[in-house]
Amino acid sequence: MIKFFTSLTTSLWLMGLSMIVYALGSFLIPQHLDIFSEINDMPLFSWLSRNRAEMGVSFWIPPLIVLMAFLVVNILVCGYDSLVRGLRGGGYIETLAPQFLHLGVVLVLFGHLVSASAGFKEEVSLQPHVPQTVRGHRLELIGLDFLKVSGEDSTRWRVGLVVDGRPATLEPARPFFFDRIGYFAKSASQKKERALVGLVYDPGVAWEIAGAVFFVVGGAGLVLVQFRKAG
Amino acid sequence: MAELIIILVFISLYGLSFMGEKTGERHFVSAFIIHLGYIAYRAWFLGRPPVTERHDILLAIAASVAGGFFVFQRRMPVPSLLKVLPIFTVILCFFGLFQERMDTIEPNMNTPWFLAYVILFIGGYGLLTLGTAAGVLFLLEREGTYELVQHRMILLGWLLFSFSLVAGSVWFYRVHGVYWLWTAKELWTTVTWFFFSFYLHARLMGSLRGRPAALIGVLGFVVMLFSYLGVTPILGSPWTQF
Repeated sequence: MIKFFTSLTTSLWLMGLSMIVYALGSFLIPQHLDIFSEINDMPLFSWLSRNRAEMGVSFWIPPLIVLMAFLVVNILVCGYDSLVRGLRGGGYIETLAPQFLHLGVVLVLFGHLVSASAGFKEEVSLQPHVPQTVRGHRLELIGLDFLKVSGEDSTRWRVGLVVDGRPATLEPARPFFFDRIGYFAKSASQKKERALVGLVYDPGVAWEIAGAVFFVVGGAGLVLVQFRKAG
Repeated sequence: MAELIIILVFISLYGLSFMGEKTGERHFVSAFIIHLGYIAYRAWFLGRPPVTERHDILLAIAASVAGGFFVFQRRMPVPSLLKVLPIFTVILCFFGLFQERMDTIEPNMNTPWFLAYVILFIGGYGLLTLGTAAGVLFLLEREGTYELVQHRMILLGWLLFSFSLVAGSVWFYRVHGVYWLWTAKELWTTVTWFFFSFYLHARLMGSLRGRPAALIGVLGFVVMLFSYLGVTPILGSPWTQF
């Protein structure tokens, strides 16, 4: 069993099969948008359980999760094996950099799994000084500014928001985080004096960030090794 | 119209780079200088780095392929790469030429994370293309140096591409509160990432090292181009400006 998971052939098969399944999914999603329309609005497992009747078009997702799980085991076993063999032979950066990279991939995949299991996404349309309570949090819009920036094809907006008594300013791509929930400026209407604010709780993000950090550190190590070899 | 003529001039010069080693290199250098001039003009015209639409991104990838060649020549000279490299710069420029130009930017794209994402993406795709060119040369001439160049370029290109995905995920999360979407576009980006990972691992296997791995690396260019340009029109994924 260990031999199976330390084999490079296993890695190649797992990657090859994953690519085929991803490609298959990419053909099915655009053809069945009616079924897949909500897949990005909720955790994956919630979507799968709500759409059990549609397994005819989403049949490829469970095998993909299984493939990813096998890949994680493969990465961990191979990584441990390489680490033991590599550290005995010296060359710390050469040995550790690929393993940091692999660990990054494992953490990112784990983050995806956590995101697929829990969390929520909601949108709320707010009017100035009309408080609303969403998921136990009191939101109040206290300001809505619009400005035209040269070269930008739509008007930029800024939302003044009070979340549970804490003031915040939201802009496109500048969210506000409080109590593990992210508040995002989705859109705003100058005419209607309304702002659409997105609330997101995604417990997988911390794992994703950790994975990204490991990946970038490992990648930087590999670049260093390559430059040393070339130079 | 003047812009179209300038683009056609440097595409033609890239095309003429096949003419002998010395003349070819001169044409390639001239094409690159005019190409950089056009990118500088676009930056001046837009008032920001010209990396927010496909027209500019494809031309920037082509420029990074040519620029990468000059940088790499100083460390590991492979002048014969010019036998195939112009094909790739011409292909990329041609695709860039036919993309609709917007000349505007969405407010949510006007952020450092987006800039980092696209610049890393351009560099990554440029290096992956350079690796493809070296791979083609290895398949044609069976000279070991080309295989080494292919591996090195693809490894570095794959890393930059991966870093771009990290930056892109951060940017997308800051805009929409999600770092991943189940769309054909995202799935093909993942396929592209896996494809080059597959190449890098296949090269470690004794039985696949050499021509089979080199062929996989070369096919990666097709996957990469389909992922960037083919998914939206062919599979019907939502359109994006960049």
